[in-house]
Parts: sequence; C-alpha cells; structure tokens
Amino acid sequence: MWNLKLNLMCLALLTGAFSFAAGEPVMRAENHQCLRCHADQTYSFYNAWTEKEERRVMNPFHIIDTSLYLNGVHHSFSCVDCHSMDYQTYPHARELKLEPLATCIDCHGGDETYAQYHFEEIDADFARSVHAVKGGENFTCGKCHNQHYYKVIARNSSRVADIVSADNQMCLSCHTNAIRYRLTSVHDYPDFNTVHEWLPNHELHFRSVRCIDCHTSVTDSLMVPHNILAKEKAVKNCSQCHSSNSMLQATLYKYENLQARDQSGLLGAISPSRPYIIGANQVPLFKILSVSLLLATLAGIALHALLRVFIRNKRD
Amino acid sequence: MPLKRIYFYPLWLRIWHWINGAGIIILILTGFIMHWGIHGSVIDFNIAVTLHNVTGIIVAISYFFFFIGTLLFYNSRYYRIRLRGWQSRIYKQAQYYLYGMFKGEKPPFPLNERRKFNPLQKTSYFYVMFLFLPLIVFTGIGLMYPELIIDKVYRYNGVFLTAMFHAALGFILFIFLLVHIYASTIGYDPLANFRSMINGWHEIHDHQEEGKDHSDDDEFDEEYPAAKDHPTVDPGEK
Repeated sequence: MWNLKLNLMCLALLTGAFSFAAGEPVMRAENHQCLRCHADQTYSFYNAWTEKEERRVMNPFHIIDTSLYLNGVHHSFSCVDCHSMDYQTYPHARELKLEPLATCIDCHGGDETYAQYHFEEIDADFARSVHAVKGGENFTCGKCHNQHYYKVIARNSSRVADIVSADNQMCLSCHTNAIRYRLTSVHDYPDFNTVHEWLPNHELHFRSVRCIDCHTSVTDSLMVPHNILAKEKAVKNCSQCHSSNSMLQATLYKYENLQARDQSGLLGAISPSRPYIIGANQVPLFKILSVSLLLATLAGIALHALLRVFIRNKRD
Repeated sequence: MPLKRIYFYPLWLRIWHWINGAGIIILILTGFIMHWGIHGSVIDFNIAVTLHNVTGIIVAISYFFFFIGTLLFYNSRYYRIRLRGWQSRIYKQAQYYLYGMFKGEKPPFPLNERRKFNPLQKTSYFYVMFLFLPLIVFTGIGLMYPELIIDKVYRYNGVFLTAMFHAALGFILFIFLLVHIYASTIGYDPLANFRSMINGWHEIHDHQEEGKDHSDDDEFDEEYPAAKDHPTVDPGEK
C-alpha cells in the first residue's frame, strides 16, 4: 500500500514537472488525495456500522472541476490552505462542516500586493449593498466569486462581450438557480425572465450590458461597483444610458482609455481601439448656437471683404 | 517703400506661430470629424482621432514654449491691457473696422514699436492665448487621462462636461481663426501681414501715422525707451 502511494506521488510529481515545463498550471500533489473523491460524482467509504465498503453520490456543490480550478487565480493553492487540516483524515469528522471559511478580505485586505484591486473599497461598497443588508454575514464574497474557479476577466480581457458574460454569470448563478438563491434569501425566488419582461430587447441587453450597470449606483472610480441596490432602485429609465449625459458612457470611456494605456503605456490612448467618441452631436442647443455663430461669422467676413473690394474699385 | 520697419516677430515667435497655426487647423478639421462622427471622409475616423491626439500634444508643447518665450522676451508687454479707457478704445477700433476704413479714415491705433496690436487684437489675443488655449490644453489632457477628471458635477458626469467644454472651446478657437486669417488681409496690401509673419518685419507706411491716437501708448511709458530688449527698428529710406 505504501509503495502504491509512493508511486502515485512520484507519478503526480513527474506529471507536474512536465506540465510546469510546458508553462501550464499544475495541481498541487497533496490535492490529489482530496480530488480522488471531490473530482468525482461518487465516492466510497468503509461503513463501520454495516462493516461494508459503500459507494454514495457526492454532493454536487462539493465537486471540483479540476480544469476550471487550474485556470483560476487560486490554482497554486493546497486544499488545506483554506480548509481545515483535519480534512486530511478520512472519513471527515462531522463537525468539520461547520468550519468558518476565510473571506476575500481575510487574505487580501490591507495587502499592498493587491492594492490595485481595491479590496477594502469593494468591501465597503458591498457592505451598503442589498446583498449585505438582507443576506447578512451569510452572504460572503464566495457566493458570487467562486474561490475555486475565480478568474480576473474584467482586467485581462480585451473583449467587452467576454467581460459582460463572465460578470453576468456570477449574478445568474443564483438568480437563475432557485437552490443557490435560497442559500442566501428567505424570499420567494423571482423568475428572472418575468421580472425583466418590461425591458425591450432584454436578450441583447444581457449580452451587452453587465447586470451591475443597472443594479448598482455606478461610480466610475470603482471598476466593478459592488453596491447592489434594492430592485426598486434599479435603472428602469432608458434615457439614463441612451442619452448624452450618460454615466455608463463616461465609465466606458474611462475603461477603454485606461485599458489602452495598460496595454501600450502612457500614450496608449492616443490611438483608438474602436471608433468610440464621447460628445458627438450630443447637445442640440450647442449645435444650433455653433452653426448660427459660424454662419454669422462667415457672412460678416464675406460682407466686409465685398465692401473692401467695392470701395477699392470705386477709388481706383 | 516703407517709412520704417519694426522687427515684431522674432524667429522663435514665427516658428511657434506656424507650428501652432498648422496644428490648430489639423485639430479643427479632425475635431469636426470627431464631434460630428463623420465616417468615410478624406481622413478615416480612427486616423482622425489619432491625428487629433498627436497634434494636440504637439500644440500643447509648442504653447508651453510660446508661454516661456513670451515671459522671457519683450513680447509679453504687447499683451498688457490698460483697463482705463479700454472700452472706448475697443469701440473706436470696432468703428474703424465697421465703417471708418470704408470712408477712408486712418487707423485709430496705428502700430509702432510700442504697440504691436490694436486694442481689438490685443484683447482677442489676450483671451485666446492666456485663457482659451490653456483651457483647451487642460481639458484635452483631461480627456486623454480621464482619471484626472472630477467624477460628477451635480447630475452631470465629469467626462461629458469636459468633452463639451473642450468642443465648445475648440469651436470658439475656430471662429477666432477665421476672423484672424481674414483680419490679416487688412494691411498695407492683403498679403503684407502674411509676409511679416514670414520675414519678421512689420512695415510702417507714412500714411498710417496720420490720425495717430496715443491714448493707448502710455502703458509702456515706464519701460520705454529704457527697455533694452525692445524690438529692432529699421528706419528705412526716407
């Protein structure tokens, strides 16, 4: 048995070494023991009561997709970095289910390495949200940001559609899943499509706009606002986005500008990635004023020039 | 033949003037394409945006040199506005442009080594060079680095307000440019002022000296003629 374990470990280390050489993230060797059950739909254990080896269905919420895990930001973690060391004994002790888990802030708060992600500001913004107010401490970061698979998409992707999709998936994971919804809410599960029926072209909106663009108080200082508002306060006024003085447009402008500079340096925003321009034909009063002023100036110049020519000719 | 010539436009000023002039024309053209969202014109939209940004930087840098040059050399004195009697001088000059010159009157404020600009020129140049241009440079920098812009002013977002302000200033400068180019043709002959801006010398012709109004001159009394860096005067042939 010991030899088998040793061989497995060597195999895992060798596989790891080869994958590492190829530049791909590698699963920590010690995680394989957990994943033997937690990457499978079933697991077996010795039932001391019946004195039999038995097979059971794994709770789907406790199954880890290893490829998604390896693509996530925490791929280099060992399971017991976040979960109790006692999980290494099997079968697990019953009370381990009650272990308090770390939140994002426990590890990332007050750390200069992560300053660019503004964890503290996000935490303060979230504390004002309907999720925090109604859900209480039960509503942890992990309810939206799955720690096992989390990827930084908003900062790394150059396609707005990918960002919108990844962002909205977080909301939809509960708001189109009654079981997950009930994990944090005592209210009746509202049907997602019914509550958005009023929105014209709602499919197109969901593909192009993040849920939070209507369901938060948009500030352009925080890239992803976390202050999810109560449903009564969500944007329902079309002109708030489809107008000249649109906060959404300003946020987009800033986002594209900052991203261009992130990719190509301080002068990166000089060349546009796509023809987006804030200010085109936006204030009708300005348009009338400017065209009138231009015409009056040209008419004045033409009249003055004509008079000069006329008088000069007369004198000659 | 001119009565005398004044070296109003030193080389540094002429270089700045033509760089700035070409830059402003490019900025106005590309600015129009951007503001009106014109696609498929002579300049492709994306190229127009890039060109606008690059030219904006060049014009901003050249403005910085103008500002330093004006502070260091004699040039700044021509921009000093004496507030006493300012309104009546503006009125007098406007009257001349509107009908005096057609009736054969002499310019009320002929140029000399103490006065490079007539009151209308001085006022408009003062506002353009020390108010509108710096403001359009600052708002342009704001649009290039939008994190510098204040987020919200009442219910208006800062980027929108800055963009509107920038566009409005651009339009004012466009109107100024039209009038400036046209007014440059009002000289001894229509091309005289353009020649001056190329060779640096402004020609004074005798008939201009008649009807001379000195009410604008005393602002330089303290400095002139003691100032050592006042412009060179070529007495010409009499």
